[in-house]
Amino acid sequence: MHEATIARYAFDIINETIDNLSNLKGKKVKKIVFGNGKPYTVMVESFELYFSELVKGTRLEGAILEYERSEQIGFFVSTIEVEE
Amino acid sequence: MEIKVLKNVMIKNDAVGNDNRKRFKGHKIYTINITSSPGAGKTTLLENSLKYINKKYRTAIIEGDLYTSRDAERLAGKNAALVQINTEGGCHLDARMISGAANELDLNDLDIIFIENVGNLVCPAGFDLGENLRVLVYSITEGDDKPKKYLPMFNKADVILINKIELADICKINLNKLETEIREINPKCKIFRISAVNPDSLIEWDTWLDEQIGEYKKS
Repeated sequence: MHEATIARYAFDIINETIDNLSNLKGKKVKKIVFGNGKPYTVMVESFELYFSELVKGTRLEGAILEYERSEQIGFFVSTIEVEE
Repeated sequence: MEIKVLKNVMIKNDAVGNDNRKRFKGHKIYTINITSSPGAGKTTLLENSLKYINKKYRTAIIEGDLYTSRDAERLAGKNAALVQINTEGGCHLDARMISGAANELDLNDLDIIFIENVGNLVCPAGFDLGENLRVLVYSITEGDDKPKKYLPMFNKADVILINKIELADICKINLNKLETEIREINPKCKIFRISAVNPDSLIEWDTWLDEQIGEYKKS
């Protein structure tokens, strides 16, 4: 259930990142890569359940979600791919 | 176009947690985050520790619970301000919840805030609330083999209170084995063996906590 909170944080970080880059205003997000680091406490299926609800009707809707295992601690927003 | 972000999502929580810590420090309030599995004895510990702590300090309790106010009802009338947080199914308290609860307290009239987290031996480990001290109440009825299974809760605790020791023989628990495993994953934590239903067994813990609060308030 903590995935609900983590999905909210990730959603906010992605939007803040895009908002801070003026040339990306209005662009849709094509792909988001997350880093899932030790101790792997985020269940991807549960995270996506909450994240998919948050992105409905936003520029993030329809983005491909990918996950990389990381040796770092925690769950990261690693990279965002935005349409040209 | 690819943008590198590389941000840990918990920075959102940690930023508010740090703000909480600064805010409480500004009022010289010592905050204690009490975690455990459901039924391990957090509320009983508070009921009996408050008898000692409240002789010297002005206290508040932020009470986390999924749906009910049962624990807060047990703590009512114990000379502590109470704020209830119902997470509506959420498995932990987060820093924003504590910030909101603190708005309901008169911080100028407090020395200590106890935060009773939601009963859960997994998720609260990841959420800094802005506390000074993180306590894990571990009930021995859960077995002597759990520290490495629930590693984040054990290795992020500053203090581990091994509770219900009066049941050790009945439950066939080897307390030394339990402590050894805790020490392997968290060598620095302070460990007390307690029976929270018996206030006499809390004297060592209460006295130690009193010393920590005293040092904090002098700093």
